[in-house]
Amino acid sequence: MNKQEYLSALRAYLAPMPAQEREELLQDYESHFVFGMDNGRSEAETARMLGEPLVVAKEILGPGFQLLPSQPPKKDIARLIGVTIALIFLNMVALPLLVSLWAVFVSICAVATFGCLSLVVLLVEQLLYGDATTAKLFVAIGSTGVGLLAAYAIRFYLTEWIVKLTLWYARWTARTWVGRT
Amino acid sequence: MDINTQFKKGVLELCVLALINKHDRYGYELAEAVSKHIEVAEGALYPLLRRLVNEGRCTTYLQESSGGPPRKYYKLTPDGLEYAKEMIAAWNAFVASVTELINEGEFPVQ
Repeated sequence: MNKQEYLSALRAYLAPMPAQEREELLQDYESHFVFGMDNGRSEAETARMLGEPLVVAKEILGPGFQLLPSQPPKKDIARLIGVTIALIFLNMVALPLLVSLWAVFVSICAVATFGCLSLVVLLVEQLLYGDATTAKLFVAIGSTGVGLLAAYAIRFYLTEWIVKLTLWYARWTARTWVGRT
Repeated sequence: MDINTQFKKGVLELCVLALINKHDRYGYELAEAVSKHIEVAEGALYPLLRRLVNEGRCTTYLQESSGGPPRKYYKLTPDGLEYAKEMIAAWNAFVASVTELINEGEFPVQ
């Protein structure tokens, strides 16, 4: 490796550094080569004595800096295809399950809404048609109880559970598909 | 990385401080002086020197040399001198302790 090759390799590795500091250091290394020549060392010899540019760059940057990879990591196409196929099959099962869970949730919401409103409905029926009976009243009271219970469950448990479950599943799918880095 | 490389990395700072303490030196000169005694990658010298300057142990000044680039000389600051003394005292104590320990272990002398 000659002087030019050595310095340009080092410059490339030191890219994360502030420019001014980097140029100052490179000046030091360039001078080192010149002084080496004055003392009868060849450029290759000086390069060898300095140590691999990568090792020197690591020394300079310290643990705080990540060395830039010489080439961007390649995408693993085979893995991507495999995971995509697996996820398609998984989703054929999981998505309908998730949808039906949401359907159950929506129907519980409906139960809660109309349960709570059943006394009002009875009142409207009485006002419009005048055919309310004691039996209907008891049914309406019962429905209100069920509605309130459902509303309580929705408010404090069900909404949180189903939203969490959906988000978790979405995130898991996305992460699996992209692949952990 | 073998054990010896780790040792050398650790004592390089000490060697450099001791060398600059004798008289002001420039980078290449330091590299030669260190290499005379221990084999070390000379490239590690410049980040070390930069750190010493940043920590206020050394200052630098440029001196023109005939023909070549100017030489960047390193000089100990009063703080650096104090630090060098401490380091050398600590090193001596450390080496003495380790030697004593090894002797107590009664390893067969080769």
